[in-house]
Amino acid sequence: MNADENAADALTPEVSQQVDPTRARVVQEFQQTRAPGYCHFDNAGRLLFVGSEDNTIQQWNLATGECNALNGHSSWVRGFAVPRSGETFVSSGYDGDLIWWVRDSSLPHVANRIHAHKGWIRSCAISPDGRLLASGGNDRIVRLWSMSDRTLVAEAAGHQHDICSLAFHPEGNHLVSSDSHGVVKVWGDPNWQLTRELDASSTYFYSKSNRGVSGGLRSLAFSSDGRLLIGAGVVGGGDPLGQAVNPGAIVFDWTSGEKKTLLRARGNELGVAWGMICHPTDNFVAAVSGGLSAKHLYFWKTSDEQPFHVVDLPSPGRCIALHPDGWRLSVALHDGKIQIYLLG
Amino acid sequence: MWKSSRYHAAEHQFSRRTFLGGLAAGGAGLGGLAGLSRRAAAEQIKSSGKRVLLLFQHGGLSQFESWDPKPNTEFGGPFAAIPTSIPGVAVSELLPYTARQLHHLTILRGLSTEDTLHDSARVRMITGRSQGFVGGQYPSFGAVCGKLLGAGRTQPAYVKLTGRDNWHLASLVDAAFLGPECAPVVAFDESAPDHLVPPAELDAARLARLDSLRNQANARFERQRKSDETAAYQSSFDKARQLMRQKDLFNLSRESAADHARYGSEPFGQRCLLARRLLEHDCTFVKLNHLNYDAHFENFDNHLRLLGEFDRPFATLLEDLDHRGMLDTTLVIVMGEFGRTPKVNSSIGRDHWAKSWSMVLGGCGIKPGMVWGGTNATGTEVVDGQVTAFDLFHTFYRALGLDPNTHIYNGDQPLTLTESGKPITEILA
Repeated sequence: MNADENAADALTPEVSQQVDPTRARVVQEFQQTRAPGYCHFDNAGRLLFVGSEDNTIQQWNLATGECNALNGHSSWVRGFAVPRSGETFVSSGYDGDLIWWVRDSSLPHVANRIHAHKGWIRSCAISPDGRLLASGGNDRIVRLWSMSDRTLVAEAAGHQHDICSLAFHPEGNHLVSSDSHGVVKVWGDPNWQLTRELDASSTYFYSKSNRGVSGGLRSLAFSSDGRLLIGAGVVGGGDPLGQAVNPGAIVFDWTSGEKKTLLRARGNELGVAWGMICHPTDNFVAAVSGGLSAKHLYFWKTSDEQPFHVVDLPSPGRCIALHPDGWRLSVALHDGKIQIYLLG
Repeated sequence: MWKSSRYHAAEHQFSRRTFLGGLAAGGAGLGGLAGLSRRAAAEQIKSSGKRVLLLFQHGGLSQFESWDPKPNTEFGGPFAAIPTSIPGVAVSELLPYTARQLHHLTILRGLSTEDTLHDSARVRMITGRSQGFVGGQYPSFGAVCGKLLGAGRTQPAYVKLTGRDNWHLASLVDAAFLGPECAPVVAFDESAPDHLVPPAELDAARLARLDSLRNQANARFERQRKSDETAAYQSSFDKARQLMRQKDLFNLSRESAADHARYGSEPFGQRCLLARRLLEHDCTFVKLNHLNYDAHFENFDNHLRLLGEFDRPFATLLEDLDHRGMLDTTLVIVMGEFGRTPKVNSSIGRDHWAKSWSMVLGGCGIKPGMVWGGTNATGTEVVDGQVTAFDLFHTFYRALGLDPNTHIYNGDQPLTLTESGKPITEILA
């Protein structure tokens, strides 16, 4: 997953000063029949795309509440990449496909489909200049694609485990990928060679006694100034199969690669931080948790271990997206409810 | 739990010392070591030469991600279904190698086994009994088969292959009142059972002195205690000694490099290769544990990983048993303690579900290439061919040519091999 690249451009000084997560409140709710896996706003902020467990993309119109199902994938949809402008966006799914959608009519339609990976694609991300699309998944290879002609530009191999998340550095010259064992690899332009690794192995848990496994950073995001890399997922626990893991996030100093802060959940909450965004003001990080007892929306300062604000969710969270206006967040819940929060 | 583990300590490793300890712990139940009624024994001798491979998927395999896929339905999950070597029959895409060997097996899609608690469900699916009795447990299917089918064979009758780090999950009950002579030989982590090689300081002379001392103690013991117990101890000791002479049975380096490559270097693959070796060498019952399918959390990731471990080695083993002509005499059973819920929980997991789940079996006494039973479109109900746990055991025993109403004895108490049920005659060859 990647942060909402569109948001920074849309922010006004007023947003930067007045966005206040402690005043977060629900301003809109939608209900879909199937659980969501991933959500993202369109670049104009009029639509919300929700990848659902019926293999569709649910397209919600924020103004009218109208919902349309976009059919194209043959498995769960778990990633979107939306350029800052234009009428094209890309979705990725557990079917291993990347689909380019074009909105030149009332509903987006499939313009192109590439079987990009063997097995699941767990994440895709678009470069800041909108020219490149990165994808990664269970074949453990990162692939870079031209957004314009959809050709394969580069491949980056080296992960030994499934790739969970991807993010481009705001300067566009580095791509970061994280796998299920918490190995974070940094690939550098121009040839997208491995330049270094960061250690998030503390997010990987294996129980020898019951062979349960959980781990990896489920989402990655950079601060807009590029000085911090944040990865969210599981940061504690001992029995993955029994859901006894703790949600949270790790903040890395991008220059040194050192871990700067461990962002923890409240108490001994059991679950995973499935989704996370870094607000483009760089004032806070927001993440949704879901699991056995986890059902919260967390707001952290990147310098503080404890959250400065926590919102109780009515159902475990599954994913989160930031609206381009910087004022709103969407949170999609396990029970199919979609909540739009206003941050101020 | 603690009591149960302690009681069955003798079943966790092949140790002469623990044989003795297990004997003492077995107490009065050991009076029934003769076990089989005379008439039944004569009948069962005819069954010799048959073998069983029980592949137990601990924790509860999801039927949706294996034998009864429901893609594009409410509870179907993200995986597709793929065709198999049985025309018109599909399984989950997580089993591509097994799919190509499926014509050797029959799928049961109508299991309804009631119990959704790990320990008791495991007891049910391992013993064919809904629960133990006051003061004890019933013997496992492996122990019973080892006794009934293994008579007269020189190789270990019942061998259990499991991981050392997680044996506690795999060992709730075994020989019970059949006594330590029916307990499994346990091989951890694809290596030979523990203690097959005497410590270096025990040279032949010292071993002989120890034997002499033991024989004197035995003789004294026999004069003062029940002879069945002494006989059981002697039998166990003889088994241990015999096994020490047969340690090469567990030597996987004897298998070819090509076979190692086919089975893979992962622990489960090596365990499958060892299972083949044991069955080839006439072991009666091999129980091969694979775990842990108890995916309350991230069910799909976990099944992707676990069935990735399972699929190719199991398909290779099945293919090899067929090529060697062993399927005619080897009953292959793949099951766990229950299935998993249709509904995906908030941790993207599936919970315990015994109402409508699946398994496969094949080989000895079973018609291949069938699907028996079925579930509704969403997998929440059995709509055809419902099978209870006891029906399964009636079927297993019948397939092996054993009468499930045969008596084994706990002391003087005659007990049938399983509870009331009906064999699935339609799948019996």
